Amino acid sequence: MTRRRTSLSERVYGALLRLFPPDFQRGYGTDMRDLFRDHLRDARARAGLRGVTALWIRTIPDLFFTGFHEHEDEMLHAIVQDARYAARILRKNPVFALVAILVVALGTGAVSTIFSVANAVVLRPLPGVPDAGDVVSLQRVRRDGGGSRSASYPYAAYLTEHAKTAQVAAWEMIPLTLSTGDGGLLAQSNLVTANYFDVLGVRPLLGRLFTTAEAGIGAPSRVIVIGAGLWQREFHGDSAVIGRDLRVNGQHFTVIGVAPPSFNGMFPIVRTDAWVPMNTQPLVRRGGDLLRSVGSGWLELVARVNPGASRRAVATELSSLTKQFSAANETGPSADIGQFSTVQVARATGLPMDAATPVLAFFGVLLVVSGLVLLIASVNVASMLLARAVARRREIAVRIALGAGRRRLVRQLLTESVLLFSAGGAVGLMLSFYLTRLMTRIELPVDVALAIDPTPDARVLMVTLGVALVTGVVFGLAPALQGSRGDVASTLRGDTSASARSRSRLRNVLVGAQVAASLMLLATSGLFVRALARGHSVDPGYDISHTATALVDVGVAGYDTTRSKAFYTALTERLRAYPGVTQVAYTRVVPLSMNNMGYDVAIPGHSDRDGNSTTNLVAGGYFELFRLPIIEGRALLESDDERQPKVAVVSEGFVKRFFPGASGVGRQFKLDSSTTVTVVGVTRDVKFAKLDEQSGAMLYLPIAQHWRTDVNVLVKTTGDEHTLAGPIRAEMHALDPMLPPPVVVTLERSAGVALLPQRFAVGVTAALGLAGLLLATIGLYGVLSFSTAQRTREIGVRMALGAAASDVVRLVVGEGMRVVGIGMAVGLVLALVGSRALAPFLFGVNPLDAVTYAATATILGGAAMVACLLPARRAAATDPMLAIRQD
Amino acid sequence: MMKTANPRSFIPLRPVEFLILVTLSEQEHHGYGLTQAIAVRTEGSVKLEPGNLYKVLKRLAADGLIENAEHRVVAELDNERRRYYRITTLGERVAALEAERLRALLDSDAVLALAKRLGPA
Repeated sequence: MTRRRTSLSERVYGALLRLFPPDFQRGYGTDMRDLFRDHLRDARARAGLRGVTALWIRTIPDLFFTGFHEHEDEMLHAIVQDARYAARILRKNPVFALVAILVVALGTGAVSTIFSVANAVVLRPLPGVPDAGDVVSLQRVRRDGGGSRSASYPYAAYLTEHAKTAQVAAWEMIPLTLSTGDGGLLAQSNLVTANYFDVLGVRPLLGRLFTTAEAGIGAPSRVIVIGAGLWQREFHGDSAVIGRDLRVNGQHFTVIGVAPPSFNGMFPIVRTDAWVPMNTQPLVRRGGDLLRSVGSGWLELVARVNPGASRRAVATELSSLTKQFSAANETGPSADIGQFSTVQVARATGLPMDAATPVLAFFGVLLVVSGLVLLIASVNVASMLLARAVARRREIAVRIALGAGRRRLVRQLLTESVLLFSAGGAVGLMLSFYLTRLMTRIELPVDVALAIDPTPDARVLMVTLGVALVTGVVFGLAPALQGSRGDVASTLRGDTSASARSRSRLRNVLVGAQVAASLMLLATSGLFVRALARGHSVDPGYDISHTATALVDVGVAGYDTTRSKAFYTALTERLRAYPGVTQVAYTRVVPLSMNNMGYDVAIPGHSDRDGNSTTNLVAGGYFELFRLPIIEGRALLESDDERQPKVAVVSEGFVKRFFPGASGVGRQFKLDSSTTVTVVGVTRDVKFAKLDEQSGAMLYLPIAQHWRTDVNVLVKTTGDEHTLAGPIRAEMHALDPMLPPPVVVTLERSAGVALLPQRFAVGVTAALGLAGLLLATIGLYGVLSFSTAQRTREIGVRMALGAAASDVVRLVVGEGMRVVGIGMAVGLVLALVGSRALAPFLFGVNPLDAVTYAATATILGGAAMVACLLPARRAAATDPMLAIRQD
Repeated sequence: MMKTANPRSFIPLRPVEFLILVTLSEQEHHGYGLTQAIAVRTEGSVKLEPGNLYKVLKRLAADGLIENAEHRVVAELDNERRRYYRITTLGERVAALEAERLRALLDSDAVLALAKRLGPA
């Protein structure tokens, strides 16, 4: 009985010894089994079955850990050995190694650069926020998912108070004028609830952040937290800044803390200079006291999901809280908030929720494009490895003859390719450091200071390395398998034709793949070029030339309605007096800046309520400045002020939609269900926010009847609009030296924002397309040269039998172009299918645009032809007698 | 003659390596004897399992600090045959150096003050 149990334990132990590497088993297996038997005897003698059990409990981990350890050692040893050998081989062929590394670097560099930018803009977790994975953005949408609505303060406070699954905070971006006495400075700031920093888990660099001391909406807490950047720029990093008095929009505030440098707010690509608590809203933000208004939506919501809760649970709870809140407030001007009762919860990406998806899609397209370059580069290197495998077949045959196993050979060849790709990946990463540095120097035509840092971080490093390793294995595998398939006898005899056929088939597949990838790449690039051209030639319906615009908000400097109106009147008069200035106007929204505003429009007797008809508030000579013709009635006049009946100018599209078949002038509609407005004029349809929008119902209201203190001043000149910045700043300074100097941009530049994604895409895809074309052409040339060189003897025989030089050229070119043709056909099919993903970025250019594909095929075909002709002509110059005698 | 390695290059040893070398410096041992001797020496606090023991023995052998002796019949183990291990000259030098290092550490002011403050354990 005991004998059997003993032998069972021993047998199991013996079996488990197979966990160890064979070498170790050979050296120590018997000894270990002996020692185990000794321990077993002791254990049984001491405590019987219990002792045996205890022994096994100690033994199992011992076997697993040491077994694993020994394997690791052995593998590491083998890998190091392989890598040493591979490095030696590569050192012997420095040109081959260098070219391969550079080609891989080009491909990985492309991927890693694009990924760096995507990472900086949308992928990276919120910087400076611990456990950013738990931080989510909230958005209220209609039941059907369409339309979204910002939060009012009472609503945000309701969620904060009642939510059990998450901590909710609210914030808004606002511009503030800061001054310490001498001159003002425009600070991009956030108005935040007192729990904002707590919810995000941000700790102060200096002083303190907001606490319950700043909570509530009673008396304003006149305190401000400044960003580390502003602290360095304006206060030279002086810690005495805490407790210092700072004028915020003319009011005395105390600096209580400095935020850490890593933290840059919820939209980290936009620089954030300062934070003020929510209860200062009446002091710092236009629009009166918003804190008690249920109807005004103006806040962004952010939440941290509580431990143990899921996003789905948060969405469910907040949606039901929202329904309760709406039910309790379903009267008065907030009647429509009940429509927005579904709360969407999404990872906080650092972008507005509705922007994240298109931005991700855009970078997705660019990543695929850069992936194509990497594909071409990798295939290129694979062809090179394959060609080298042919050249090395003697070495390999010798090694096989000497007893090297196939697995061992494949591993060796794979190590070489992985080494090449890793080195290429490292160089590619350096390339992306350089390229991203270049990118940060590009000045973007936007009127906010950005803080995009596309420098590759650890995540980019991992991705690049991973990509390099995977491509190294994938593209090294086929050549390695081919290379190790040595037909020893025939190779050593010098007979080369045996395995040549399968090799040339693989080569052709590789060339075809490169051509297909190139075609897709060039087609993408071509489509973006067409889109950009279309974007430039689109007529928005008005004239934006010779015009500059400046965003001015005297409200942030504490101006009330009367004072601000007087200020703008005075500024207009001063600017109109400048030589060359032909027109000055105001607009709430600058056309073609991708911005939009909407009012709720209701027509009596018309069931179609338009909740989002495009609206602009304008003043002065807006219609003259843009040469917008008034087709019927009159333009808006400066006399249309708050004392006069409410009026509007509408577009033809507006008339067609709401008053079909009739004249628009004299008709009335309700604005935001309260104000009755009379149409006094009709103008033509325009593309207002973006060039790729459909012209539609558009509404112009006199700004004096819907006063806002934040307006864009428009100045048109007969001269160079770039010189207008000086006069605009000088006149503002003359009127009030405490106002911060505004950012002045020309309208054409500002309109360029609309084309920014396309311009970026054209730049990137053109560079990548060129790189891809070059790589593919060189690859084709290399492969064709190689295979014709291999066939020198055959060509010699053909020529000796009477083939003319032109026949040889036709033979070689025909063979090359056949592969190219198949590759192009495959690429065309893939491009036609894949280009659908580009449609949203093309300004209505058909993704199947015939011109683009024709041009792409011509360019690629031409380049391929050249790549084929060169080796063909060399082959045709073969001396048959020499060729036949070769070998 | 084998290439002689510098004993200093092995210092410091891991505690279990030092224990094995010191135990082997008294007499040759088979695996079981070694685990028993070490258990006695450490008052049962170090119990070596086979995997761990032979991993260390392999390393020590590869470094030339110990070597395999012949198999012998062991009376107390039912007259079974066991392989014996013995320390090399290099191993003895390394063990001596390690002992010196530990002695210096034990004689350091910090350790003496610690002992004085807490009294004998």
